[in-house]
Amino acid sequence: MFEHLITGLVTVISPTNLLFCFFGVTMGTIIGVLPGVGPVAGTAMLVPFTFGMNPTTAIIMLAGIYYGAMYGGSTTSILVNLPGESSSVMTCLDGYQMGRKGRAGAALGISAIGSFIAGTLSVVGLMLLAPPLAELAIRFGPPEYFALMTLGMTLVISLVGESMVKGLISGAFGIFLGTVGMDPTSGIERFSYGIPTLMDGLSFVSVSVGLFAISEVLEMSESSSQPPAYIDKISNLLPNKEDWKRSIFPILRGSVIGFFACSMPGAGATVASMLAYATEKKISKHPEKFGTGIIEGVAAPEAANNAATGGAMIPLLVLGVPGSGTAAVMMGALLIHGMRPGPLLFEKHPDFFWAVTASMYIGNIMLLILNLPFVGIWARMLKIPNSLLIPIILAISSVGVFTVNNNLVEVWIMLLFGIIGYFMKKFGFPAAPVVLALILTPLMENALQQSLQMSHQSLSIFFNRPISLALLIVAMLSLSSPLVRVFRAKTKKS
Amino acid sequence: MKKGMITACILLMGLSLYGIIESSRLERTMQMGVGIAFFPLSMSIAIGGLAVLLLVGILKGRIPVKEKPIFGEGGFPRVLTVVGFLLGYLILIEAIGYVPSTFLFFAAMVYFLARDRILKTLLTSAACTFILYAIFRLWLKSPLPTGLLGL
Repeated sequence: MFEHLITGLVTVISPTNLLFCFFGVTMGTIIGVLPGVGPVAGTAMLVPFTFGMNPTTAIIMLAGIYYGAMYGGSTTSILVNLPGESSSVMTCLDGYQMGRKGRAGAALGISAIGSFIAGTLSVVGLMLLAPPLAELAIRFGPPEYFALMTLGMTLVISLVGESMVKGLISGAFGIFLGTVGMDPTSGIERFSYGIPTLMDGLSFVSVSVGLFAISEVLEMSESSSQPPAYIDKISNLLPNKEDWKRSIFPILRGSVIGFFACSMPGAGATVASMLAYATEKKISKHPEKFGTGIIEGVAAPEAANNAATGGAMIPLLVLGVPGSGTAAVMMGALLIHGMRPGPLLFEKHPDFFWAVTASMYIGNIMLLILNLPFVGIWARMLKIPNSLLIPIILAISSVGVFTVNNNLVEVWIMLLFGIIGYFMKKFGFPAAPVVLALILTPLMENALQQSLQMSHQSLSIFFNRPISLALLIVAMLSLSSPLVRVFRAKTKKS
Repeated sequence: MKKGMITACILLMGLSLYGIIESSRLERTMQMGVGIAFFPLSMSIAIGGLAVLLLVGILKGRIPVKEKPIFGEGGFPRVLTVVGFLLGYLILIEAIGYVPSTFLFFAAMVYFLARDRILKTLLTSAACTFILYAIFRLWLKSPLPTGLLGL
């Protein structure tokens, strides 16, 4: 394993990879700091930047954006009580209160150091868990893959968003969109109406940039006012002895919770940070102090949302099933680069996996340096007016989507999905299942066709094989869990 | 919000109907396995069924809908204007190319959103247009739309 890691490190320390790792983490920090622009939108928007790169450099940069955003998100939570991205919501509770008590420096410091510890631990976890899991997954045939993708989708649908019905509608809509274009087996066109751009299916870049970036910008443009950014001089970033004593165990617990929560598809960094905060509150001797500005309330959720990034790489790289919106965008980017994430990735391109893993160690060190001494610079980013940010995001998105295939029709598709995404947000339909389903549907359809060919068109193949059966049972359970909750609540009432 | 949700459900039912009709046409060309209509047809039925479920839930009050209006005061006209500017940008970029259309887009957007002084708006727009040109054309070597003016 260490030999592989060293090979990976050698790949990463090439000037190009180091430069794009730095670019990724810097962009990630900016995206995390700016409220309204989340990691999914940021990653989707910057995918076109990777097209001239080799796949390893591309994913090093995109992963850097992902975990960089987790670091940056805490800055706005602590300084202006506005989460830069959704997984920093819990940090607002105690981080902002610490800032009001004049301890913003300590909160930012423990957030950066905790994020570094958690990020590094999660990469260790990824290194230890990924190879044996890949060894197990390599035995998967088409039925197991079909069941696994079904499970991934149902978990994301059941855990994302406010309502299961809306999540299911989003998922079904995504699957429907995934069928646009030429059928991979028969070569027959579906819903493309002779439009050349649609023959290869809807471009995932157009759809994801539209659903995440454009919709967010449209929401930002609704209000003419901008939240005020009170940024004083930030000092005393290094936590004192007492801070350390109170934070170290929450950081470690947050790391474990974040990593394992996100190593399964569905639970994103936001769920992980909420779980970590709730756990700390539950085991604390003074739960009433949470929310008043205590350092444990910053350390645990920040550790959890950073550990989540390493955990999220497991379903993505090892199983080929992205567990969140950002992971789905990264998977789409990998597919465009001709890399199919999954257990075969280990066999065919071990250098790729280990280079990405090694880059995460280096990226975390870069982020610690960027986020401790330079935190003041990031805080000043909050002063960028929306009147400038909105046209910049719109122009980068439009030009970026155009450069994918030099095709303006794809930019029109982006705009259409931007409007759809905006209304989806308004009515509480989650967008992540749409992109996830759009990416997974061609693979699922292929796996289903292959499975049925293996079994001479009998569906029993999915129930005769233990792994496939187990995965489908878990998928059914995840879908039926809200019904069980409703039934229990009714029984209790009666 | 309730009216909006009901409209959304009706639109989803329309999408479902469209999917069912179009997928049924595909079914006739079925050649192997579960057929190319399996996914679109089953998903169209699922969207329709779930939309009906959602609509019934909302009408019977089982699914809570926020009371507050969908858009804040003046929010929707601003969103419409931004969409309008973006539409104009996409039309212009094809006709006159990246440089003039991006400059005009930035100038219009910054002026609309900030109401800054004209000179400041023009300078900001020129700077943003150049920075994006430098990133995409000079650094990433991506071809940009040139239009009739060749810019």
